Parts: sequence; C-alpha cells; structure tokens
Amino acid sequence: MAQDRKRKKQPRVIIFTTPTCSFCRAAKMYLRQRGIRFREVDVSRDQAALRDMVRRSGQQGVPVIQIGNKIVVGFDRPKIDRLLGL
Amino acid sequence: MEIGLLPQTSEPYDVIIIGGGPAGATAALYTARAGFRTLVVDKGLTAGALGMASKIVNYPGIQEPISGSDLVRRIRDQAASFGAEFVTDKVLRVSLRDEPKQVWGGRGVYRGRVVVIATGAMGRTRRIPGEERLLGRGVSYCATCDGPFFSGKEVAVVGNNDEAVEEALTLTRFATRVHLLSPTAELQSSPELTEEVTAHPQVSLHLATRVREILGEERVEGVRIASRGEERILPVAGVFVYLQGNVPVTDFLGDQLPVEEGGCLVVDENFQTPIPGVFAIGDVLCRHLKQAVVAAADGVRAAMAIDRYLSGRGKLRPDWS
Amino acid sequence: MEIKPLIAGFEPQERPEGGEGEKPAVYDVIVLGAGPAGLTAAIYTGRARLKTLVIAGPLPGGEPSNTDLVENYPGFPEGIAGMDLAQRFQSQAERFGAEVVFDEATAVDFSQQPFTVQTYSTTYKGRTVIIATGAEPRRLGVPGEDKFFGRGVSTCATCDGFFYKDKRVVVVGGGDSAIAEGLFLTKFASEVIVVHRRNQLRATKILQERAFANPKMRFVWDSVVEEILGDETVTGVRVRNVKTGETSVIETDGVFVYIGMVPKTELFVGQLELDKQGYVVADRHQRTNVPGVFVAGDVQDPNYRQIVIAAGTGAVAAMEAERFLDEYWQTPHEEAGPS
Repeated sequence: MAQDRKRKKQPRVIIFTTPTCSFCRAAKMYLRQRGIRFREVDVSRDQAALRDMVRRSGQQGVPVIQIGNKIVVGFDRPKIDRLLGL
Repeated sequence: MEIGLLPQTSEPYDVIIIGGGPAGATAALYTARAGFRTLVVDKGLTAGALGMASKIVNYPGIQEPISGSDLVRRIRDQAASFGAEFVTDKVLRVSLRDEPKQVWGGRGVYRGRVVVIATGAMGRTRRIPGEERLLGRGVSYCATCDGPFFSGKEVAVVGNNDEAVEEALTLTRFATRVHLLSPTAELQSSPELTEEVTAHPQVSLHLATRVREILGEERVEGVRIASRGEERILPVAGVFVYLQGNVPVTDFLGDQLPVEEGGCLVVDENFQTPIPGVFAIGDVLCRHLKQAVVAAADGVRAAMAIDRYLSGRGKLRPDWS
Repeated sequence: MEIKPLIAGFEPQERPEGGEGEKPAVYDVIVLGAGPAGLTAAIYTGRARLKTLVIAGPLPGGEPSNTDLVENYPGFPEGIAGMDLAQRFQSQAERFGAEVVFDEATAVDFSQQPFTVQTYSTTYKGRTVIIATGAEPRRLGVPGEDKFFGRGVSTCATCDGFFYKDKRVVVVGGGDSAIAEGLFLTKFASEVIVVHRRNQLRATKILQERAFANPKMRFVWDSVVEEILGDETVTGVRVRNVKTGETSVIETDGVFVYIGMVPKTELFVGQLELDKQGYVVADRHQRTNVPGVFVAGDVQDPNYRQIVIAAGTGAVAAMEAERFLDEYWQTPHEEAGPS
C-alpha cells in the first residue's frame, strides 16, 4: 500500500510501564497520537523484564522509554521528540 | 416509620450539621472521616434543591444521568460509611451560645460542640392567605409537635416532597383523615414514600391542587382549594404547610445570627459565623452559583476549619509539614 | 481583596463568527490543565455551548490519576480508583463538546485580547483562559536527591511502588499523601518507614489509624532527611533528629517524598500576579488580575488540595468566564440553569 512505503523508518521504541502509572499512560497516549509504533512491557507482570529494565536503564521508576539504544526517563516530551525526530 | 423518642446520648456530638444536602453531607463525610462524632439533622431526601432535581448531568464525575435524590443519597451513604449519623427531623430552634450548643428538632434535642448550618435556600416568603393569622390555631409546620391536637379530626397537609409525605403519614396516627394537597400533578417524594402514602387508607390524595385560602375565625375550619379550574371548600381542623420557595432557610435561628439583605447568612473565609463554633455552608450563604459541586466544596472547607477549631490548632496548615 | 487589572479600559467587542463544526480560529475558553479543576470548568463551559479547548498538559487527569483509591470525593460511597475518576471527568467534558488535546503550553501572552497560548505543536487563541495547571511534588532539596531521582528516589508511589517488592522503603512526610501512599506501598514493600519532622502525624484520623495498625509500617519521629546515600542506587538516608541534633543512617532501597506541592506557574511569571510561593493571586470568584483570565484548582490553593474543591473552583471559574464573555464579547450561550 502507498501508505506503507511512505511510513518513515522510526527507531525501535519500547516503553516500560506498570498498570497504576499515570505518566506511563500519558506517554503512551502521546506516542499513539504521534503515530509512533511501540512495544509495551508491563514490568509488574514479569520479574525478568523488570530486572532487565533496571539493568538497561539503571532506573527504578516508570515510565522508561527506550528509543533505539537511548533511554528516556519519565515522560520527557522534548527529549522524546528529539530522539524521534519529531 | 417509627416515631418515638430518640435515644438521648449524654455525650454531646462533636459536630451537628443542620441540613443533609450536598454541602451538609459532604461536610459530614469529611468530619466523620477525621474521627469527629458527627450528626446530620435533615428534613428529608427530597426537601432540598438537589434532592428535588429530577435529573443531573453535570455533576463532575457522574456522567450517567442521575436523579438529585440519588446523588444526595450516595453522598449521605458515603458519609455514613465513615461513621456519620443521620436523623430525619426538622429543626425548630437552636441555642448557639450555649456550651454545648443545642438544636431542638421535632423529635428530640441534639447537643454538639460545633453546629453547621447547611439548610439551603428553599425557604418561603409568601404565605397562603390566612396562614399567618391562624398560625398556632390550626396552622402548623410540625406534625410530630402538633399532631396530637388533632386526634379524631380531619387535617390537610400542603406539599409534595418527602417532608410533606412523611408528615402526612405521621398525622395518620392522630387524625381520622389526612388530605394531602399536592400543587403538582405528581408527588415528588421517593418511590417508597409515594407508594406508602398512596396506599394508605386514611390518606386522601389531591393532586394538582392549590390552596387559595385557609378559612376560619378563631381556629382553622377549612381550606379553599382549586383543582383543574374548579374551586371548592374542604372542611379540616388543621393545616400543615410544607411548600418551598427560594430564600435561605434561617427562620429557626431566631435572631441569633446576623442576616444580610436577601436573608443570607454571613461568614468569614473559613465559613465561620460571628459565633465561634457555628459555621454555615452552601446555598444558605446566597452564593450566586447554586451547584452541587460548589456546595460540596464549601462542606470540605468548613470541615477542615472545624478540624482546626476542635483540635485547638492555630492557623490553617496544609496536610504536609 | 482588591485585584488590580492589567488591562485598563476594556471595551465590549463584537464577537466574530467562527465556522460551525470547524476548529475555531479563536476559542471562547481555553483551559490549561486536564485535572478535576480544568475538566469541571470544561464541563460547564461546554454545556453552555461555549467553544472550549482543554490543553491537557503533561499529566492528563491530574493528581487523581496518581492516586490509588479516592474515598472522599462525594458521590462514590464505595470509593473509586483515581484513574477511573480522572477518566470520568474527561469523558464528561468531551460529552459536552469540550475539545481535549494532548498538548502542553510552552508560553502565554495575556497582554492583549484575544489571549495567545503557544504549545509544543501550535498556537491557540482564546477570549478567556482558565488556568488549572495544578501543582507538582516539592523536592527535599538535599544532596543525593537529584543524583538518585528515578534510581531510588521517587515522588510517585503509584508509578514506582512496584519496583520495591519485598524491599524496604522510606516515606518522607506526615500528611494525608504521605500516609495514604505509604499504605499503598505496603502492598509491595517488606517495610515502610515513615520519617516525619514532628512527633505526630498531620494526616486524617482514619489514615493514621490504618497506618498505626499496619505491621509493615514504622515511624521515625522528629526527624528530617539530610542526605540520600548510595552508589549505583539508593542504599540509605541520613536523618537528623531535630530535637536532639543526633544523626543516624536508615538503610533503605527507596525513598518516596511527600512533603507538599509547588504550583506550576512558571509560564505566568510576568503575566499574572503571583504570591511569594508562586501561587496565582485570585479573588473569591477565581479572577486573576487580568480580566478574562481565571484560575482554578491546586494552582491557586495551597491549603486544601481536595478533588471536590478543585472541581468546585473549576465550576466557579467557568461561570465567571461565561459572565465575562457576556459582558465583553456579547457571546450568545445557554444559561447554566439550577442543578
């Protein structure tokens, strides 16, 4: 489809969340609004994912957004925009 | 519905709230949750502005249409879940400078360290011709007080809400027949009360009926009523009036508190009246925005000021240290 | 109190027509912030058929969305999850026609009409503005706090509590938030130590009772945190007893700070009158010193900070905005009737 070809190649985006985290929800809403595809990892369900996230990011707080191989801590919109070229 | 004397607890309440609408019930929610023994004295679920509203759509957080009485009931249940007590009664007079303060209802006397006036603005100014003249001589506003005077007689009750219906049912214990004269084509009381009064063998229901005059020389002898364009005289020995208006309800205060033009009570920024320990909230303050959420917010602010007052704390401090 | 108007000699204006159904060139009402105050204002102005835009800001839903369980918002006798309540406010505002955009204001200009609000994506114009940007958690301001923020130091238990499963945490504070969130943390943590600078809590009675009854909670009184210690992550806090001057170290894996809020008013410096703590100065009718600019919620309330009070002030601000539009712009709209 014409739209597929036009879709920009975006860096891989992973967002680490927990269910009661409202900033996580805000971050996801924002990414969706900007048409960014992302994978969500709910670290409350998965101890291995939790350890992985802490290891990768050094963070013990959510949301953590991994864009390519860069880490964004919290819903830091300017940094997210910059890393995604928005 | 049981009448009878209420248990007279020897310990005064911490907080007595007169009026259980959104302002009073929310104040009760907060004071009860803060650990203060709280009593709400209220005339009836549909006696107030919110309780009378048939449909609310703009109470923030409740999008599905809800009746005013259901919303009031929810807030009251919430307050009760934290320990607030509720009694259905009408306040006739108060003694606000006594310690503890005293509140006389038709069914009992209540004593409290703090009194909150949350009686709203559904008070009347206009009287039915003959009403003032015959007050105390057949005209009354309190069935539990005056019902016994009409034993074996026929009486009229003028009104259409919970208060009017409850009073009408009370009167069936004394009067042989109670004529319930509702100005509206349908009663505005709760479904349970409406069903009870409609089925009652001693009650004659007159809907869409206005009282034009209360008749009698020395005592009430009858009422001139009009319904669907026709007038007639109904012989009764007593008339109990429970209609609504749109002015603040402050008659029970006597002249213990100053009243501004329009009948409004005066408070400081902490909702305290000139008498220490006496607060006022909601529509009785004549705010120009009569909305349930605004009245509820008053209740919270007053509750926090009451917390300070009862705890002996000085300035209002926010919850962080 | 006397409010000195910033704009003198305001003249009533003819309201230019906007296209029906299109995005208006100029909104009747721009609300900054989508917490209970902002969304209640939008419920009211939307219902009055004023073209309303809500710029949600960084935290749609506001403080309630950060709160686990709300028990004292009147109307919910069973209590309600904060996030659910926040969602209800938003859908109600949208149901009445308010437009809620997920954007954030970066600059404002209140020096002339219509007012201008610049955001990350675009610029909006409005005849009135209702500021409901709320407040954010106050920080301790001690060494180690910034270094370890997000790595052991947090101001959001509902966000980060999960990371402390079976670990020990310290909660700093003694008010409703500290205790309620401390209780929330006992769902995960093995131990919750409350460090408070007085010898009694400020929190509401029922919360105190629950906290004292909770076997996982213990209390360190008359103490303040002086430093947050650790290497890769937090390992402890150094506290000082304010009465004796003694210091000691409490070992901990995490520190949650609940010592109050700071109003989010950086955008309005130089545009509106602010008090010494940064709160917007307003009168009882939620009016600021600029006619047409109103304020509601925690951003002007250092004292109460309750959801229903925020909502109540939002309703009042909305009504004042309607009145302003009536008087100065002769805007046709529907009267807010009783109820």
